[in-house]
Amino acid sequence: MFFISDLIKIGRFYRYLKYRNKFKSFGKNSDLMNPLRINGYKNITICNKVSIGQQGWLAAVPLTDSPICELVFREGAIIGNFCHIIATGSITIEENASVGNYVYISDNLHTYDNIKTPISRQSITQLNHIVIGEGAVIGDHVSIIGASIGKFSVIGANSVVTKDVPDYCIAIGSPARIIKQYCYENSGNYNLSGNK
Amino acid sequence: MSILHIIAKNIGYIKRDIKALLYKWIFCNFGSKSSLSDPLKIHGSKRIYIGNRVTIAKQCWIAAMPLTSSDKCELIFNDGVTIGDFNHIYATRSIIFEKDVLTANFVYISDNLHCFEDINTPIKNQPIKQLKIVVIGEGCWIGEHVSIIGASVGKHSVVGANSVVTHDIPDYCVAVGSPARIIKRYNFDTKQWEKTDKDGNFLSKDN
Repeated sequence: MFFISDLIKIGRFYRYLKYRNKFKSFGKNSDLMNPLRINGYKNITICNKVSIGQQGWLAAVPLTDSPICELVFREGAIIGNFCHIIATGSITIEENASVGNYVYISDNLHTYDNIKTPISRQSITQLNHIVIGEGAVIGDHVSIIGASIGKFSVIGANSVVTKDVPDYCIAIGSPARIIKQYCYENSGNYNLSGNK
Repeated sequence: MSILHIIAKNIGYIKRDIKALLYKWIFCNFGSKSSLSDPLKIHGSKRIYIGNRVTIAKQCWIAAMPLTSSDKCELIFNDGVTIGDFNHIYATRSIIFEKDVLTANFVYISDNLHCFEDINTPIKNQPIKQLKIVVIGEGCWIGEHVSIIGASVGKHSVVGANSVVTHDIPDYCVAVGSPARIIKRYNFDTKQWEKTDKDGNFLSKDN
């Protein structure tokens, strides 16, 4: 007797066999469903129990002169559908981080300094390396451009993160501002501090 | 090198050119070296003009439908335009992409809106309202998740991620936010990009 859960397991095992040798590493219980596009397979590490949704675009291509080029998904990270993650330096998604749908994470930007050349033909600038902290939650439609997210932080939907967000914070808006931070004195409660 | 090797090496170009034969027949114009891979929907293809070396990535919805009974309806991609994945471009009168425009993923560009004046009719049954025509200037860069609704973007300007553009953006500007405001402008005197206030005046250096 086959159950639907068995079919899902078979599908996942098939994808494991398909991707196992293509990526730098691909964990046994990981899943990557129907990707839109993957560039630079050999720079992408997918640890165990990672789940990446449909139609995602993963890229790790050394377009800048950064010494390393890697995209790492640590154990238990969950990425939503339609994600667009493009690393020219280093992007690490730590353990059990959860990323929503339509999220854009990038550590590079197009240069627009030269006004004589179209921006599409100018070079790429490297920004800071990105670490999405352990257990962080990223909402839908968020753009993270050259900034890191701390441990157990929450980013609200439609935010644009361009500066680092520390640990245990809630940040929203465009550009993202911290609206709440975990208060150790009054443990268990979030402190509604107005500081940025 | 055998013929099979040559075919295997150029399979992408061969696929593109075979598709182009079909698209030349469907569209008003489909230039050479242009590619349109795996579109989501194409409406009113006879009113869509695609120039040379245009790349339209996967799952885009491009449409030019005269729903507002305007006399002309056109959607023009000039030479060298690059459109990202999952874009949604809907023209009821005129949307023009000038040369070498670059758009990221999930961009929405439209020159029309649903009417919502009548409160007794569901908005989806109300007519479509025509807004100003949209011109995306030469060499522009439109960021991720941007919505451009009835407004134009000037030459060589940059629109930041998650912005909503409802007012025209002049040439050589960086605009971000919802609604999009100018934060940087190219200063032709110093030949540098400098920060500005929201009206586009340069901030003095000490601020």
